[in-house]
Amino acid sequence: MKWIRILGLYFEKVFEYKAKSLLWIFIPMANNLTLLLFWKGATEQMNYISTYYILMTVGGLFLTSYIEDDVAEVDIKQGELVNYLTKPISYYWMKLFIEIPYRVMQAIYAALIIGIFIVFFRFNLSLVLRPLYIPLIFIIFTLGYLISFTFKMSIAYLSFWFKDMHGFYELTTIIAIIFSGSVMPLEWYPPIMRSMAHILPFAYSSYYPIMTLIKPFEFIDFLTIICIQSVWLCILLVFHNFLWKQGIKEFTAVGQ
Amino acid sequence: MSTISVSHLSKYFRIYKKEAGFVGSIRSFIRRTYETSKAVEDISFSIEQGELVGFIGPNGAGKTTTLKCLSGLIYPTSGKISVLGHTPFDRKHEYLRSISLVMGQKSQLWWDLPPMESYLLYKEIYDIPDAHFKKTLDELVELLDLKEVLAVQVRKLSLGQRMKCELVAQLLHKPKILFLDEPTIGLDIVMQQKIRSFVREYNKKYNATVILTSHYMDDVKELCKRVIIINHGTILYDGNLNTIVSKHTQLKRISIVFETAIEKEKLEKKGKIVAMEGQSVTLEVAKEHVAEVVGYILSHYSVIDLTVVEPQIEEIISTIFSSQKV
Repeated sequence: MKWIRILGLYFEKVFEYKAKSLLWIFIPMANNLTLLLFWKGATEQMNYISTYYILMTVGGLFLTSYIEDDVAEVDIKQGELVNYLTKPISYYWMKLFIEIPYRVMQAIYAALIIGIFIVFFRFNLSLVLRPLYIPLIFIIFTLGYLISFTFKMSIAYLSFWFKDMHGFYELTTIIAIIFSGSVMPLEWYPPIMRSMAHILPFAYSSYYPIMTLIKPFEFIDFLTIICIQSVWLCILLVFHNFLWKQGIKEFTAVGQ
Repeated sequence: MSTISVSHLSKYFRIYKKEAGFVGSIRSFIRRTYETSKAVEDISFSIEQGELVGFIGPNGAGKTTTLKCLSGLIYPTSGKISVLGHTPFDRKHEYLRSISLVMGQKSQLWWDLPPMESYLLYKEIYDIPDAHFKKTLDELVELLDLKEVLAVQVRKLSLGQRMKCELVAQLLHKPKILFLDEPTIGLDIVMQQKIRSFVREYNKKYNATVILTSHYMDDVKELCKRVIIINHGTILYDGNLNTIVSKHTQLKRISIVFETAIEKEKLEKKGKIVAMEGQSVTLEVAKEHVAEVVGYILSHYSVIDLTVVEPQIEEIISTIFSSQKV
């Protein structure tokens, strides 16, 4: 019940600041839609490309967490973490339920805007959506988001030790963009980069969830993706818990 | 066993020091200099259930750091703390359900939403049953006169209203221990008085342990029998407020307004004249001679008004801070 209350409360907050939520989606959208227009003129695989970029743009807004700045700058550096530490509630879960409304609202906004874009530029989408696999796709999307969220929470905890991590967060965002397939489909990468993408967690956060809607995967493919995602999530959770336990000892609760 | 037990608690912070100017920046880029700041140094005390204890000290004395350690916010450098049998830094949910930390300078309410939304969230976080929630909320809202503001956005409330809403939020789960860090800061006298009466009432009604830090001596005078005076991270005094006051009150002042002009020399034999203006005189007298001097004045002169003035607690505390001894 408390998680529903938190979700509800933050949905209310999103509605209070609807312009902010809407503005923030223009940054990733501007990149992807420009790329889409470029590929429209340059390739014959237009259906695949347009579907890929459109889903990556909308899906990416839901699947990619941007919690790191909030945790590092506001909670840790300005001391807002105090509000969570004195309550009988898990900080990780609280932040998760705080961020979900933003992700959902941004994905909805993006879907609406891209819908207009599709109609205006006459793009065709070719989706492979089999009702039987919808629960598995839902699991893959959830795990994808949790991977991104746990990774961003973990790197945000570095602010317990380092004062200014903004550059580092930018760098990890760029790496995540490259290896999650946001620039282009991973199969188009040079072999070495493709291999790297497969051994890093980022592709399991965005690329594979999006691919479940585009490629005709079989049941075993879905299971494989879920297994690898679960392994990554476990690794990241161990990493997250370690950083939290060590980092919280460094917290000075300033800003009071 | 005490409700709160602190043994040899120390908390040090590592502080980065930089010389001013461009050269200082270059030096610190090559080699950073750090200093260890001893916010709290080897303090020990214990507090029983139902006590209302005031923590007094100037800025940077270590009061808030001690409260942060007690509420589990920061990790002590050394020493042991036990609150209701828990180690605060473990932040076990059972422990967090038993305490509340109210910070006068930090709002824990959702800024953009009405206080009621925060209360409903706290109800879920603390698993407060519906009936208990309604009863406690009604009671607190009534006591603090908040009915009109429950549906107003927190950002639109006055400082006093916000502080009262803050108190309600922190007391909904009826904590056994209440940490109050500057709860009346920035409030006007009427509001300060209301908050004090409320805290006193809560302490009595629920036998709650309250630890209060405040720069306003009136908060401490009105609420706390016991005070812990802390400065430079060490405890200078732990005990009854009246004991320390009387210990430092060796002299008392007698203010007299005479009906007619009097001879200065005669009065000087009875005490030190610290002020004399027309028929108004202020005499400083050793406290054991006050009764005798008052008796002498009343029997030998025509007096319009006479008052014996206690020294201000602020003056006494300030003397203790500057002399670093009790």
